[in-house]
Amino acid sequence: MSNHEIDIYKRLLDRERQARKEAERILENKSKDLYIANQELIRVNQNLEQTILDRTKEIELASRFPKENPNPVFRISFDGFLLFANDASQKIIDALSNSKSPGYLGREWKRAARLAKIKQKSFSIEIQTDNRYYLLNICPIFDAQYINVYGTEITKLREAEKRIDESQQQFGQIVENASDMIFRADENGLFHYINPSVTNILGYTQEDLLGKLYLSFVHPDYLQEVEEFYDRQLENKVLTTYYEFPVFSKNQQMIWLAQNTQMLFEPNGQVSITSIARDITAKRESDQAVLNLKNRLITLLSNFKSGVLLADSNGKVETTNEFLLNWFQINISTSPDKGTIYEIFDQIIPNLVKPDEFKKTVDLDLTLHQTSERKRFQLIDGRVFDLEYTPIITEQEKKGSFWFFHDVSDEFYSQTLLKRSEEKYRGIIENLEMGILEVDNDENIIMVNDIFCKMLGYDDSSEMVGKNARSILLPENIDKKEVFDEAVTLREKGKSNVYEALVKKKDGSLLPIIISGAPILDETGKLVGSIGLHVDISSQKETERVLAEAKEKAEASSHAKEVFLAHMSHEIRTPMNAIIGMSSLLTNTELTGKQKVYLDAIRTSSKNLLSIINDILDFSKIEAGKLNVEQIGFSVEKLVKNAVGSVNHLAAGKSIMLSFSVDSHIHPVVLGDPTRINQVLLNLLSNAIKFTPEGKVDLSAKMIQAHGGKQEIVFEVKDSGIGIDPSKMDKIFESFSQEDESISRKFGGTGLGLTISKQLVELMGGKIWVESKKGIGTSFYFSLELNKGQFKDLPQEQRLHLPTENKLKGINVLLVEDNQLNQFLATTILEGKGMIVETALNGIEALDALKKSTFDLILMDIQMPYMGGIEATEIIRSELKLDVPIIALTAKALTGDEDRYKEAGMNEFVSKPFEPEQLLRKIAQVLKIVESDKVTDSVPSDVRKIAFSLDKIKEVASGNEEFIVKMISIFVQNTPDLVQRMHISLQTGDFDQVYSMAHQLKPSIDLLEINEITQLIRHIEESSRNRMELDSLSDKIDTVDSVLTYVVGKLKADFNV
Amino acid sequence: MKGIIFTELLEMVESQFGVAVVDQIIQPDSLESKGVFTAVGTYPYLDFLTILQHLSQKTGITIPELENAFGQYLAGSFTKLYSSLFKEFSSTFDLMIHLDSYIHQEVMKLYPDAELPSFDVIERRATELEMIYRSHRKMFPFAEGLMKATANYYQEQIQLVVLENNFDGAEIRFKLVNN
Repeated sequence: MSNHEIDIYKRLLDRERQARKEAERILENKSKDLYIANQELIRVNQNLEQTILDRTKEIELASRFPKENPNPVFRISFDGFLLFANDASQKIIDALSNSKSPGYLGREWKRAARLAKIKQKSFSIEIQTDNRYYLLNICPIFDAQYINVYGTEITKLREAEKRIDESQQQFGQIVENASDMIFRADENGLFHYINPSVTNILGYTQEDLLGKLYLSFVHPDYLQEVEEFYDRQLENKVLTTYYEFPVFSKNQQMIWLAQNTQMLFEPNGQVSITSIARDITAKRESDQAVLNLKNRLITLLSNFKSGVLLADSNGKVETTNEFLLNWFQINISTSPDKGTIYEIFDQIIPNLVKPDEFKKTVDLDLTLHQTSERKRFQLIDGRVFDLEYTPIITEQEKKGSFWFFHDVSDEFYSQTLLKRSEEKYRGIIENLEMGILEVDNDENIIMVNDIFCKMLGYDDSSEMVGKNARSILLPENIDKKEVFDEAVTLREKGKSNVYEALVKKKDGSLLPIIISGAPILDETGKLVGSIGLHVDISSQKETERVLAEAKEKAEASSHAKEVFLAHMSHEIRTPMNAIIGMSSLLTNTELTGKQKVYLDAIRTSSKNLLSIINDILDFSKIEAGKLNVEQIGFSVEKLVKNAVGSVNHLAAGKSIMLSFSVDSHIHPVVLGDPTRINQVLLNLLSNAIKFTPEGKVDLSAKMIQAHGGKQEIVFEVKDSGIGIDPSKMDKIFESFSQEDESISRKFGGTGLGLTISKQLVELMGGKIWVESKKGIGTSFYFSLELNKGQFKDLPQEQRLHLPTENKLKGINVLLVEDNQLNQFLATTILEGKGMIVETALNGIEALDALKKSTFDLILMDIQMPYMGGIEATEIIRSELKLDVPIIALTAKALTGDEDRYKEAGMNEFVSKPFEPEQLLRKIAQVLKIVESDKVTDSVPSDVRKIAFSLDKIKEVASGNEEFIVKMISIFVQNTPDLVQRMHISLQTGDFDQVYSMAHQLKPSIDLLEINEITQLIRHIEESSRNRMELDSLSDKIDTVDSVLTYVVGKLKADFNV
Repeated sequence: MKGIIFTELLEMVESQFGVAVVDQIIQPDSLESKGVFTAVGTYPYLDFLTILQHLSQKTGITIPELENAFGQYLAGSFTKLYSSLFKEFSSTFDLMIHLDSYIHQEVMKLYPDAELPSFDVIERRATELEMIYRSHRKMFPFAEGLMKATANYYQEQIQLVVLENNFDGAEIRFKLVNN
């Protein structure tokens, strides 16, 4: 073997040795584990053996139970063989065993087992052997196929029963001879035994009763309760009961029985009933009499309107009544007549103001047994009662106690309340800061309080009492004695009154007071004097005086402001008139381009200035409440058109598209103040243009609702301008508010425009509001409710047209004007139209001129030196008695002025500064210059639509002029009446009449070819006949009315009929 | 891994290649057990793999082949050591069916720390038995050897067909066919 091989084997050996050692170690550990496991097994085994021993012993002891049982216990197989029997069962087994085959108990057991199987339970049999009785309980055990039999010896029980039977026979003897009625019945109540007493007492024979229902003898009135009573006894298995009820005897006599009934409930469910009854008729009758009396008394007491408490000598309550229990809120645990008086007193006492006193009183009553005086007690809640005690004594023996509780609260309170209210009012009067004075019929002072003494400066009442009130209180030189006399007259009539008067104080000075006087009547109603309450009102009087003074001052200052404004207005307007007028004239001259530009600037600036002045004046007027709103007819369409026309020039310089629209539902003529509406529209439009660098400005009027004769119209001025910042929106209508200072600088204006607009709209009963988006645009709205008008409501002015030059040519005008510039201006305008003008510098000069020559027209300034326009006019009208038309030219534009001018006799007025056209229009108006050849042009645009024709009439008349005039005059006379009646009929709901009127109008309308309403009148006719679309009838009739009014007016004028 | 695997492996190597090869493949420093094995001990699986690797390097035989050969060798030892157990079954199929439910459970009673593969029966017919082998040690060739030797023991012609190989040999579905 080489060394190498030796090394290999050495290593192998070494590994094997190590492996052996490790294996040995592992095995050693394993054997230790095995040893421990074995030991554990041994221990477990020992425990197991002990347990088996214990269990065996237990079983053995348990198995001795049946053996040791003194009662017979045995087990038989289903085949009938005895499997087990204890000693006690030996005798029974012997008796049962078949002697031929011991241990076999016979076929009967098999049968018994089957029986038990069918019944699914155990059952009992009884056997007798050797003078002993046994009850055997047969318990089949099916899974084990045997029967356990548990026996009980019942010999003693049977012997006792035998003895009972014997004694029962003895009892029978007693029962037969008893004087009480004794009977037995079965559970259905049928008699099966009765003793002789039953037949004796009730008179029935045995045959009558036996087998009969005992209930058939009970008095019919009691039948139900008796039946229920015994049914209950039966049901609840009550052994003995006692009950009294009447029965009928054979000779129909009612006999009351007191009956003891015993029910025996046998284990087998049978019931035997034995009753012993005694005739208690006599006793019953006397008891009933007593009971009736008692009930009557108790009823009497119960209804008593006082509390009643009746108790026996032991304090047991015999009777009390509802009144007592309710009054004291007493709860009695049981029934009221079973409690004790102490129970009742315990509930009364805590409610009393003086509980001890009550306790003492009732204790004394119970001790002395003497009738007591009434004693008064009060409850904490304020009620009051009187307690009265009467002992009940019969044959010198105390039998009980009787208390009465009388409610005396009302009596008590009527007395104390009276006393208290007297004290209360005395206290109130004494504490009032009022002087009180009582006098007799001769006005002599009877009583006076300290306050009145102090009020008048007297030291105390003794200085006044007894004196004549009139003589010491009435100031000597007063002129208003009648208020005192009137008061005296009223007192005599038994009336009171309140009046103010001055009375004399002790030092002779006067004091203003309010007197509230009332008559004093005695108990028979006779006047015995009067009493007065006096309040010092000197401080109130002083306050009044101060207030009046302040008011006067305020009024004076307000007036001064007004005067100032009027002057301001005049002072500013006069030069303004010259500036505007002159520049207006200047435009008609030949100018260079530059001059035209300068002139435009002058005109624009002066117009702006004028509008600022007008704003300020309007604002002042509105603030002062001096602006009146007119109700005149106008056309909304025309108003809107004109407003847009007026601002056209403002938009001209910018790239603004100006547009307008008018809702066709708006009535052609509405009533309102077009001047003010126009003012608002112009304001809103010029604002819109001002704040819209480029884009659109639109004015629209829409009808949003109509009811009755009214329409609500909303005007909207919409621009695409710079918009209003939301934070400034709610301030936009405030005075002197523009969005900010920078706007004011950039766009100009007083900042009053919107304030005035708002005030004007509100003055007209409308609303104004704004919607805006900064950078997108603004819409101003205002809504007005306007009455519908008729064409006749349109002012004449609107039907006039600007006269042509030749119509005015040659008219003699007297111009009275102190301002040279204005004189020049007016003269230039008038002479420009071919009029002949003479001037006067004041009223005096004017009167002189009038005395010398005649004029067609006077233009009169108001404020002039020496004699003003108003004075001059008055003289012209009253002294010179001239009716030449006078137009006032005035720079005063305050409200009320107009009235003054008219009052003085002026026909119209033109406010300075004026545009030439304005003046000319007024002149044409007062001179009634109408361009009759162009009538159709002169009516408002709305009316132009109304066309009619005389062609048909002419056709019918075939050239007979007289006939035509006759026809037209009939139409003119009848039509307004028919229309009027149609209105009235509609209002009264008489649609037949409406129909009739429409029917009558129809031919005339057709004949005149008034095409606008030929269909409408048919609608009216039809809907009034059919009672349809009645809602719109009113509007339709209105339209017919306005059209016909126009046509009638036109025909009247044309044909002079 | 149970010591008997190591002792039987080394016995097989000694009988096939001689004691020198045994000495060479046991390099104590690379083995946690230091190359000392007794049938009643328990040793790391890694040592078993190390020895097989050394043996494979030494002999040029692949590890699966070595495992297969060892399986057959070990089955021979088992039939001798546990002959009564083998006699309880009538055939290879009978044994294989009861491998998990009976044999391995008995093994676990003796060696609670033993780690055994599972053999679930998928389908059994008269001549075919389809099963799934599952073991994270992935020693199916070893099992194959064992089964082959077992068939020889029962003198049966059993053919083994691998049907599916999942998880790199950790789960193999195969069937045994008895001709």
